[in-house]
Amino acid sequence: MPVTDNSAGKTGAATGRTRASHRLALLTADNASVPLPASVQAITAILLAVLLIALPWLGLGYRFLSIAITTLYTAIGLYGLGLQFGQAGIMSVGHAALMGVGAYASAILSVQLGLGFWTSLPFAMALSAIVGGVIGLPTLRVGGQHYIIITFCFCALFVIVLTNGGTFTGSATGLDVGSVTPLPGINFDKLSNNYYLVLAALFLALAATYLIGISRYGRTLRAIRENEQLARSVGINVDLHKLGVLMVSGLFAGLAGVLQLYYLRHISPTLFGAFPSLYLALMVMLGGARYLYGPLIGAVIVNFLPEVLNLDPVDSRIAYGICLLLVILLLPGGVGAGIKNVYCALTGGSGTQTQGGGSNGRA
Amino acid sequence: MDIFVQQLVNSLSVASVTILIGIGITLIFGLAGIVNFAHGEFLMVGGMATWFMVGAGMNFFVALVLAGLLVGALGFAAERCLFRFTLNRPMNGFIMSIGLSVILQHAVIRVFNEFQKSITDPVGMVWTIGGVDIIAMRAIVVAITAVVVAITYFGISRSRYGMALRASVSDRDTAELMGIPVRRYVTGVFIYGSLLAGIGGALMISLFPITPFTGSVIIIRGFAVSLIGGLGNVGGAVVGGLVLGLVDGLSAGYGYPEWTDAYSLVVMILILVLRPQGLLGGTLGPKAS
Amino acid sequence: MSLLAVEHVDTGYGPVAVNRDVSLAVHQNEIVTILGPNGAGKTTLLRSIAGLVKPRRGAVLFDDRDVTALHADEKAALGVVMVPEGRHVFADMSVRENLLLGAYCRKDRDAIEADIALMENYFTILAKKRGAKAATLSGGQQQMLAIARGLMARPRILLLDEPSLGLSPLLVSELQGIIIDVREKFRAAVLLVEQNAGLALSVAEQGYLMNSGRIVASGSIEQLKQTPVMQELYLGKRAQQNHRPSRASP
Repeated sequence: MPVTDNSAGKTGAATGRTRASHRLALLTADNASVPLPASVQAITAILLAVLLIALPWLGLGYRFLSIAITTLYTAIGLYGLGLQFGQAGIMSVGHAALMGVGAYASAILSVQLGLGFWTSLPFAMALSAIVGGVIGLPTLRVGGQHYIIITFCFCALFVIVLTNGGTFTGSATGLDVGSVTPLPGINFDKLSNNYYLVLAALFLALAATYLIGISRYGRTLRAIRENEQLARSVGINVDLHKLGVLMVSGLFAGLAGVLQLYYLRHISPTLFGAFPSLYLALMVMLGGARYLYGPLIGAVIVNFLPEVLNLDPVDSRIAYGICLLLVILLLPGGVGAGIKNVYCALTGGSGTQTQGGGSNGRA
Repeated sequence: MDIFVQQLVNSLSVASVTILIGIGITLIFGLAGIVNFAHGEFLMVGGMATWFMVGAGMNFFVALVLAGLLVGALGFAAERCLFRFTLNRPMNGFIMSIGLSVILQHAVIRVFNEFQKSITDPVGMVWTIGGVDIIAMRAIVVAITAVVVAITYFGISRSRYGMALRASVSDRDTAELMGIPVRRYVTGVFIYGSLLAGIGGALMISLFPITPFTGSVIIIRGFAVSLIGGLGNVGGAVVGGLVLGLVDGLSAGYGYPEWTDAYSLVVMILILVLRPQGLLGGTLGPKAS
Repeated sequence: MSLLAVEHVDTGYGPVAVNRDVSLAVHQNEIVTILGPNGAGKTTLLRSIAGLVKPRRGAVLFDDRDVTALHADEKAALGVVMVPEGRHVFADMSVRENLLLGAYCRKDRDAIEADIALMENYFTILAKKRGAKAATLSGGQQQMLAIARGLMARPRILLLDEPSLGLSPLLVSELQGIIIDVREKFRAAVLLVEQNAGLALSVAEQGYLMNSGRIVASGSIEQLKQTPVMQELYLGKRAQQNHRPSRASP
């Protein structure tokens, strides 16, 4: 519905504010946040959950399961990035470093204080959240692209600090940890149990993302993403919201980092540098940051494509790059958007036609 | 004293390469608002092309020109096929440049291999200037860069096109209202910036070996240089390059070499946070509508 | 035959529509005004006409030629020149450079110097501040510069977006004379977007009243003054303006 209400009688300020809220509401209702019917959502969720839970029993092999674990914890980190970029519009190419903060915090706690997975997890996640907030401070003052460079610098700096951190950080060789402290009856040396651990964390991440997405908090973030000035003018505390989402993103990253640590059992600085961060950005764009399953899709594509196509690492990276270019050019919402559009086209459903005026939702 | 002069020339020659890509980065960001991550790869491609041509027997200086033209063409293709669609959404342009940089790096690995490449000193002479022995090639690198910088600088400050370019960097929409074909200027700036990067790559390989990953190392310096000088400010990029070259030289000589990169990173973060328009006054990016 | 015709134009950004079904016309040597309150969509309309924003529906015709899809730089070359809201002089460049930039699209380079002299003659402040950076000029002086810069292109129609914004009443009355001279001396039609009804009504011959993105009233200035909408919206305001006798042609 266009904004043309014939409120010829109202005076300036009141009209201004209602018009602003109205515009804001329209802007935030993009294709991604127009929900599919609840039944469809529920069915997709259930099918996906069943598939993921059954995965180790499908007999696809050790290697497959390993890749799956990597994909899942990467996806958890991606959900953080997806929140900050997809909802709030703040992109980062330093996200791997945030994961590294969590991983290294946990590893150092293990080496220095003997804290295991379960005990170090809250600290690691908290630290990542704090760091996420701290490096997010500049974003309150500078625009998105400047901020991206800052995250890149932070990431590179992080690696340098780690590499020169002596025995405390393990320097270039890195740090080792033991396995996850067993829970009653569950031994995490078994790969499938490790898988379920990561899967449980992923379900948590998915749930959190979903809840944030449908909440008022999510809508506020999207409003800030669309038009920060407008959001400010209707009284939204933009700074607080931005910092908040970056800290939540840090939480996710910290969780992912610790899971990564306890899967690999060994971490080193290069795991969390510029290249991994760039690939994370790539994955989240590929999958679609604004869609619930987007980050997961991105992680799956990037991790499984080389297996499926039997590409060597070099070719697969060329493929990633090309996919990214194609996605930006043709399908800026990522594969997630593509899937949703296909679904809507097939069912003639809602999707992009909720706004009038000939517009096609987000350009 | 001798050593100081040699160090100076060394630092300047390194700074030259940084300045050459810094100019490209600063112009492209200033005008199009696009942070071109792949610019480092452009330089690397220029260097690789030079290595290949020299290896095939070509004269270095001819190869240098050709490398510049090649990378200029690459920049043109990138703008026409990719970046031109992102003028109104520069964030997408930035992300595409990430993809492009990954593609270029690995395409080079695919075509050649991932090992480092180098060429022998093309000139191989030592000049004695004012009683000091200086490796000729280094002086030549500085000289070529100085010429390029002079051409760029006078082009921008004196010519009609330069004036229109400055106006477009300052206020893109209003420049269009004047009849300035800003989109064509964007293409031109991409070509020119890439040309400079290609030349920079050729000069770089004449001094040090390069690998397919050299681009991502150098891009940080390129950003640092343009940020110090202010985005869109060519003179600033030059000053930034000189400053950074000095810091590098001092750090390598007297400080802690492992932290060298860290200095430029910290400087960049500080500038971005405290004075995003750069120390010498540039733009924060094209003023959006 | 009109010089500029806007036919059933819709404009907007993303899912937000701004203008709906706007039609208007400006004839040769005419001064036409678009009046309306803040947020009515006047600036967006002007930007679509100038080519900075593409209309989502409808057409813009100049000299009977469809120019809807042309970009701003192409339109400037045709003679459709806009002086944007807030002046937007090139702050770091000198007054002279600003004027030269205004003439960028002109092919007859030799006449440019003569035109600069003409502008400096007419807007005397420009001669005095020739080498000064535009940022050092006051708001009113910048407005003069922006208009002069627009005129340097020898436009056939000049689109003025709220030139009185931020100007003192004295400067506003100077503006009155300038706008009329744009037609008289510089031989360009004028499409004036304004919130200041007093100024607009005193110079224009035809007018359009806009609200919430639509045209709600149109006609000659005399006709407009009589409409109840106009009276209701502007009666109070007009009483406060420094009312000058209308110089619009009968």
